[in-house]
Order: sequence, then structure tokens, then C-alpha cells
Amino acid sequence: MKQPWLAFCAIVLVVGLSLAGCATANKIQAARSTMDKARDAGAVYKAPFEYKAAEAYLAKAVRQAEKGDPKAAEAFAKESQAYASKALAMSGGGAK
Amino acid sequence: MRNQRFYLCMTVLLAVLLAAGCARNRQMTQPEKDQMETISAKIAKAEKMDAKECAPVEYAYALAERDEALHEATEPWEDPPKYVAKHFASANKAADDLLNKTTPCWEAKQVKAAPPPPKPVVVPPPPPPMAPAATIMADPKYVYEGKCTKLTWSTQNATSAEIDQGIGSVGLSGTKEVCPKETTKYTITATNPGGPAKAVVEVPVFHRTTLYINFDTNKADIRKADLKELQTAIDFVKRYPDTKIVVVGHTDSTGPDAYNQKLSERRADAVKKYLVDSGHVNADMITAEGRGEAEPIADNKTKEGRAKNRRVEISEHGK
Repeated sequence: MKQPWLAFCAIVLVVGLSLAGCATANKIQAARSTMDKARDAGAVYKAPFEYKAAEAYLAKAVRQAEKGDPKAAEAFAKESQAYASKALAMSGGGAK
Repeated sequence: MRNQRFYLCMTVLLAVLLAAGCARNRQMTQPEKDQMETISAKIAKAEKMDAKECAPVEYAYALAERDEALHEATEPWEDPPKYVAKHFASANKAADDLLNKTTPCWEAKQVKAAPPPPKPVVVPPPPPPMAPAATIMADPKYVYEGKCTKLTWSTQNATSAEIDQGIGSVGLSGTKEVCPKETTKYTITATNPGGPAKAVVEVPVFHRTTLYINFDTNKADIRKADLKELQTAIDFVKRYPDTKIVVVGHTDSTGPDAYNQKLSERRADAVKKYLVDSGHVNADMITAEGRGEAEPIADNKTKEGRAKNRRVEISEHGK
């Protein structure tokens, strides 16, 4: 290989970006999963505000992820996760 | 070649850092800040009106829209104002929707929650004040003309007290010396808001005359020399016809007590007999008693004093 440094830098960049993207996707996935549990526990009626807030913030997270802004996507996913957990707790769900 | 590699690596590093968000955030313009404040104020107002209960869905969307608008407005690479304005408009609309749904709901709640008109407070009438009470007595219970007695009174539940016969307002309990000239009724009136209460004591005033009769030593016979003095007694009983007459004999301190007691009784009996015999007083209306040497009115150490103490007192005690 004539230019090994160039190849190394490219690999580092690609791996770094991939890891960052995976982390964002994991957080969005976790929030979605909690929200699903909350919905199954009846959060739509028992904790409507918390459930709808989790839903709205999750939509924003997805939108930011699609836009290529992982930092914002993670922030919104985190917010969504918090509301979803609260909705789940208020609906009597959660770990048994 | 080595330089090319170095610059390339540096470029890649810079790109990674930018991607990691180390770049400086975009500053919002003043109109954007004002708009953001307006949106936040609307949401805060809705929060105070129980937005969570009244409009949970609108509240959730408004929060998310506002946070997204804030993010877009401060994103380092987001500078086309048109794009930011679109987010602000969306957040503003969400806030308006929230407020529009929350306000009527809140007002309806307020009407429901309005406390019922206060019930008229019925103040129970105060219990009637306890009736006052009063007592009054005199010690001694009667007096001879020119002598005094002590009135003693007390009251219960009274706020003021008054005694007639010119005495006027007095304490709720107390004593007072009075020297009535004639038989007098003293009435105390104890008063409180419940009304007055009265008590009466009558202080009889009796009349008395004193005879200084010189009996022979150890004798109780009336001497002729004392008949003039006894006329005074007859005049006295004439003034008070049909009244009880009391004759009391006294001696000086010469001799033993028991002897003087008997002697005083015999002297009183002698005067009583004289009066009854005179026909001016019935026997059943007159009594005689002796007090011995117990009630001297002068000094028994002098001849003159002893003469004064050897006496007979005649008094009337009413009908």
C-alpha cells in the first residue's frame, strides 16, 4: 500500500462515525421500547401527558437522526426515555 | 509526501471534532429571543392553568415543538433564517393551541370549584346572666337610742350594690357602722344585667333610762329617798304603753362575783315589782335580770365610779 496513513485515517473516521450513529440508534430504540411498555400498561389513559410527551420527543429524535444530527437526536431520545419511564411508572408497569 | 499525510490527518481530526459538536453554537437574534420568550410564556401560563389535566396532548406537543425550535435556532450550522422561522411558527402555533384548549377548561374548573356561599353564622345568644343575690345583717341586732351597730353585707353575681337610708353605693361586700335614731330598715340592692336583688335588715332602736338607786348595803329594798328616782321609771313606762319593758340591775365590783350577780337580780326584781305595783305596766310585759358587776359604766376604784355602777336600767323593747 502506497499511502497507509491515508487508509488508517479513513478507517478511524468511518469507525468513529459508525459508533456514534449506533449509540444514537440504541438510545432511540430504548426510548421506543419503554414507550411501548407504557402503552401496553395503559399509559395512553393513565398518564396521557407523559405518554404523549415521550411520543413527541421520540419523533423529534428520529427526525434529528435522519437529519444527521446525532447529538440532538440523543438529547431528544433521552427526553423521550425520561417521559416514557414516568408514564410506565404511573401506569403501574415496569419491572416485575 | 510526509507533509501531505500530516495535513490529511489533521483535516480528518478537525472533521471529527466538528462532528462531535465542539463548534460554537449559533446565537439567536433578538427577534428570535423575543419570540422564544413569548412561546415559553404561553406554555408557562397554560401550566399554571393545569395544562397537564386539561390538554395533555397539546401540552406535550408544545413542549417538544418549543425544544426543537430552540435546538434548531442554536444549531451551529443552521443559519438560513427561513428554516428557523418555520420552527418558531410551528412552536408558536402549538403553544396557542395549548392555551386555547386549557383556558376554557380551567375556567370551567374554577366555576365548579368555587366555594359555596358561606352559611350564615349563627351566634348563639349569650347565656342569661345569673341572678344576683345579697345578704345583709346587723350586729348587734338592735341598739339603744344614741348607740351604733355594724351592718355587714355580701353579694353574689352582682356588678354593683347600693344601700338606702342615705348610705348610697357600696362595695360588693363590706361593713359599715350606722347609728340610727329610730328603728330603721336598711335595704341593700345588688344589681347585674340579669336584674336587681334586694335584702333587708331592720335595726330596732330601743329607748332606755337609767336609775341610780342607792340600796342599803347588801339589801335590795327600795328606800323612800329613791321614790323620786322611781318616778322617772314610771314616766318612762308611761311613754311606751303596751311595750315590753326590761329592767336590768347592776352592781359595783365590791364583793364576790356570784354575790353581786344575785344582788343585781334582786335589785332589778325590786324595781320591777314597784312598777307593776304602780299599775302602769302589766307583769307579763316586764322582765327583770341582773348583770352583776360585769357591765360597769364607771371606774370601780373611786367612790363616785362605784356609785354610778350601782344602777338599774329600764328599757323598752317594742311591742
